[in-house]
Amino acid sequence: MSRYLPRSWLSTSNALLGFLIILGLSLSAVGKANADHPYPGGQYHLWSIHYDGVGGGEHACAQSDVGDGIVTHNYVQARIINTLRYDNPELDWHQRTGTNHLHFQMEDRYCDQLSSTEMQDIELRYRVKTDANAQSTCYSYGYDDATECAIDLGPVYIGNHVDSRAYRIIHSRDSIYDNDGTEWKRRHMVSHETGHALGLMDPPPCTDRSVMHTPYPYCPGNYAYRYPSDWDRDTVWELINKP
Amino acid sequence: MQATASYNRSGIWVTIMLSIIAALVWTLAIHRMGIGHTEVSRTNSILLTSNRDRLRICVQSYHPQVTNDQLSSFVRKSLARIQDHPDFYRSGLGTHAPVVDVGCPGPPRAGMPGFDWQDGMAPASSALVTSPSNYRVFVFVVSSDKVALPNGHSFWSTPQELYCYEGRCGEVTTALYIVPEELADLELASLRLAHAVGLWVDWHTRQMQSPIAKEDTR
Repeated sequence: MSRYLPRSWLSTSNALLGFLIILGLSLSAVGKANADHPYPGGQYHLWSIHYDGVGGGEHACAQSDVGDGIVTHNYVQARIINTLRYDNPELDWHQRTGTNHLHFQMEDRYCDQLSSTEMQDIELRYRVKTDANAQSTCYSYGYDDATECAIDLGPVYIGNHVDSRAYRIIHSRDSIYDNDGTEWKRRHMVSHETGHALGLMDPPPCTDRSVMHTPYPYCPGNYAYRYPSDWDRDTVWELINKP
Repeated sequence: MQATASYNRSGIWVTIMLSIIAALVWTLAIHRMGIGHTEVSRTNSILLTSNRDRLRICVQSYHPQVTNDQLSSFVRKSLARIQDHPDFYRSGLGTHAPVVDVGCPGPPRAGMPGFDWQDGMAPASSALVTSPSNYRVFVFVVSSDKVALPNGHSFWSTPQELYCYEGRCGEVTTALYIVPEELADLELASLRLAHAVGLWVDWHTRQMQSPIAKEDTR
């Protein structure tokens, strides 16, 4: 019996080796399937947002439902457009100049002042709520335990692909209100949720070079997630400029 | 020597069998991950979900002056018009004959207390579904006060069903609201129906247009 043990062990090790090879190949295939950060079909993803028939650009409206007299409609409009465009070119979605770059514009009126037809030109619709209401709204949209979220609205056929005419983006008061030293949180939350509308996905896989790759709940230990990175800007720029 | 060869052969067979079992188990696991928690998947087609084989529209009148038969006839006429949209056939909408049914498997939320027309939600009636309807559009006739906005305008289209798939949530079914007076305007209703089924409409020129110029492959 004992003299056969090594051969038996050899058989088992062969089997184990085969199993590991198959497992490794399978894992490798799955990794590749999820390796793109843009949404599948992302070459057209920005069409309905960027080339919307009203002169190009990303049109936004913003509204506050907070009602505390501090985080007002005007406060929210200013913080969001500043995050996207004005505050600091190194920390926002600012891109290289030239054709087909992002161009955010904030509607003067808040969202509820627009008619249904006027709203067809507004692709980014920000809504700021109290922390509890933001969480319950995100929950009602299907996102458990989130205070910031985005949903796709107005599915539309744009070639060989279906995209969305607009994005409804929910933010909590906590993330929009600038307390001492919390501007990064506002920048991160607005840039991340807007990133979805610009065609970027949440992880997996994780890298530490994207505003989409937050430590919680996706990529523990990440630190380079607070602002859109050059990689984010370049990826979106490529999406816009793909033929 | 013979015994050694025999054991080597048995080792190869065990290797092959275990590898096949591993591949099968892994394939099944991938398949289950792919289908997620539900049998209905979000697709890349204009019908949006895997449980829709053709364009199906349900209609229901909630106004005493309009019968369901009148509404159904009106929607069929609108459907005939949107077949002229440059993308109607190449999007796949024309592959199978569209269906118009009377009776919708969900309520009109317009007019409900706290209704938000932009996300289609009312506190007492959620638009979030665990399984989408096989109707792409619900068409309701309601009184004009149900679709009036505080700013004096009105809305005519809202999300009817929101569905989450693979971590992303969004509109998969659209509600189109018509007030009785609008039944006299087939052109406007056709534009709105085209918009609701997911075809591009340029609202500045009020034209049914293809968003991306390409050769018509009809």
